[in-house]
Amino acid sequence: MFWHRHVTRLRKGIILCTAVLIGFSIHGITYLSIPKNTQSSYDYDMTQYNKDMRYALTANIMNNPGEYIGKTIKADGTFFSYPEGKDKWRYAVFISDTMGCCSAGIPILMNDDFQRPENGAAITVSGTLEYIEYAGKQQISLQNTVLTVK
Amino acid sequence: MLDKLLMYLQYPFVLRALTAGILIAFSASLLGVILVLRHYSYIGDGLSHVAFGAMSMSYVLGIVTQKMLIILPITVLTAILILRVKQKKVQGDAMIAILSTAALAIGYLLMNVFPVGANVSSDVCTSLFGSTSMLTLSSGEVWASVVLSIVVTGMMIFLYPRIFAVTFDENFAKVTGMKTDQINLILAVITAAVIVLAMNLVGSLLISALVIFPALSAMQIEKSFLRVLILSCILSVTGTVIGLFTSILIGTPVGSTIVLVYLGIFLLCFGIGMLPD
Repeated sequence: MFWHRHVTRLRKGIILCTAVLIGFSIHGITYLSIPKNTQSSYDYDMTQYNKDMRYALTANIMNNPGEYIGKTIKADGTFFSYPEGKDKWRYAVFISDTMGCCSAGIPILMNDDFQRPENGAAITVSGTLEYIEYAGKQQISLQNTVLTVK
Repeated sequence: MLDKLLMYLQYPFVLRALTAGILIAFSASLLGVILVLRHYSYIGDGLSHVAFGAMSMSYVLGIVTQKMLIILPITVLTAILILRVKQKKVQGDAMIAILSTAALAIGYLLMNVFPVGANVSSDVCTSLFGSTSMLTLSSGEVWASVVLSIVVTGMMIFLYPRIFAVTFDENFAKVTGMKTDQINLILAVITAAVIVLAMNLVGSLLISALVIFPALSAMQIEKSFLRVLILSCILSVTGTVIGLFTSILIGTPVGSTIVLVYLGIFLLCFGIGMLPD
């Protein structure tokens, strides 16, 4: 008797769960039309990701650089530059999460004579992630960078 | 959508989030059943607020990289205080409420009175709401969650009869000669460790939900302790996986998305529990 009752309840539960899952799938297929990164020529085209995923990938690139060396990326972010020495400048693109409380930056390599945007300018960058020697350490940076101000 | 999901699943950081999420969900749901049955449902929230207060203290003291040296002992002591000390005038839930709000207030006050480094807002956001912390886990942190789940599962396997006795009738267990104080101490230490570590990985919002929702959902359908434990683990892991995938696909915060999935599961289980036999 107990088992009969149990199986009946379980069956009803499975029917309900299946209905919810089908509903969720239909909703997903209908409304979540997210552009496909597979059409991009970059390994990681962050311009197609949501903000949290952009930040997560950027933070992971900086925390685990070995996993991303040689990969091509395209990203939207905020331009940041600061002087290093007399005539030398260093540049970076900063990418924040949706709330704006967390942000991570990728150093970018540019020629010193390029038209430097204002700090905080919204930019799109693309290039290849490679190591450079900086302050006696290997640092991941974006090389062969193409930078456009939005 | 499936293409997008498969693409993201190739990313190492998504796999790390998935692995740690499943393991933490599993550990927290096992502990959750015991805590909910003992009327300590809010302990996850309380201890994570205490951990937040301790984190603020570590910043003020300038111990940033080794902050766990401050956070873990304070949280463990608080857990012992909540789970072991029996006060007639201040019951368990009131004790949690007092410690939780006081610790949160102290933490916030300290951060305002002694302004600290630039990453504080990020740490506050991460420790309270999880933010994107789950998607930025290192391999070491994933290993920490592996160890955590092994410890919790081991405790449940080896101490199952004693935990069962203490959970349902502590006084009777004590009369039969069982060392209930020891069991309570082990439970307090492991609860604090799970909550502190998980808070850093997924945020206090999610860890509170991980403790409460799967246990309560399972209790709506199953009645025996063992069945509730098993169903709780299944629901917890399922909810985490669905929530994580949903947040990645539609760009919502990971912690709150998983909590909302848990809420959906709870309502579903509640509905199933209400069905006539």
